[in-house]
Amino acid sequence: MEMLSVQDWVRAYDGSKPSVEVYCQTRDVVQARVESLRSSLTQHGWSETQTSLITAIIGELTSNAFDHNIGQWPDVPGCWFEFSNNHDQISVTIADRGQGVRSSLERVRPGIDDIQALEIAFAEHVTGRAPEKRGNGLKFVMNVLRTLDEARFEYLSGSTMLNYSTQTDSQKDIASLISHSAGIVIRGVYTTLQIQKSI
Amino acid sequence: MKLSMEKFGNVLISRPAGREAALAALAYSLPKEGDEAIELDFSNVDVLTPSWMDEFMQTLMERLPKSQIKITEGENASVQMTMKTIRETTH
Repeated sequence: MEMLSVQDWVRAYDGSKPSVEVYCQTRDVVQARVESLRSSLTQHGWSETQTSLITAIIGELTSNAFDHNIGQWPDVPGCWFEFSNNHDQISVTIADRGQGVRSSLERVRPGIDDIQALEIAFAEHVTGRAPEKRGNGLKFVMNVLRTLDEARFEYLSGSTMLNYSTQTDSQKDIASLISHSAGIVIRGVYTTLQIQKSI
Repeated sequence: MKLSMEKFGNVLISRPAGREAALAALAYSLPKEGDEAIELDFSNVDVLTPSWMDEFMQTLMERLPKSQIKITEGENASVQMTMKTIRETTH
């Protein structure tokens, strides 16, 4: 049987469970894999600072899949998580078929569109889990990315994407990083991240 | 009194873990009464996220005033960035 790609999985109308190598149905499974990523960075000689920051942002991004969808999964619960570490560069993919950013934030900001939803998620102290006072996770991710020497980050939800590269975007504000994702519609959230080891 | 946060683990990431840690601290580690200053020492923590910290602090502050709590960040980059992000979004 042909392996389902992550892009196909997050765009499909009907959900199916991914292969066990990448599928994390529960929070404890993905946490164990994030810990494995951390060990991999340490073993490949990444600095303590980079290892700590990368583990933290991957931890935030994977936690979001569960925090905002628990009890709300439209079909397949959990997330897709995979990473590769070729010594000097780490690549990470995280995806879920949850309710997505706009649907989550619409409870506190009715009537917003996909673009506004990403702007709020990345720039404001607001969470779909109101009245809980939270909403720091994605701001933290951007704060960390802006400190790294070389990183690329894509975050897609609905018909919208945030695209960030340290080489071209380090001085840009959040709004200028967000655009429509050219006909691609993501169910839930789809994130890719590539980070180069600092010398 | 000083509370060494590494006692809750070196990698502090998820919301449920943050809440659980705060409930355990309130039950077993922190004084039940009085206004003694409480220092949260993150010196030996390897990874911290805002989600864990938000949950820990909000659970703690259900019983303790914020003014009673002092934070020692230490040198870890994710601890420092977590505190910076929380300061930026709450002030």
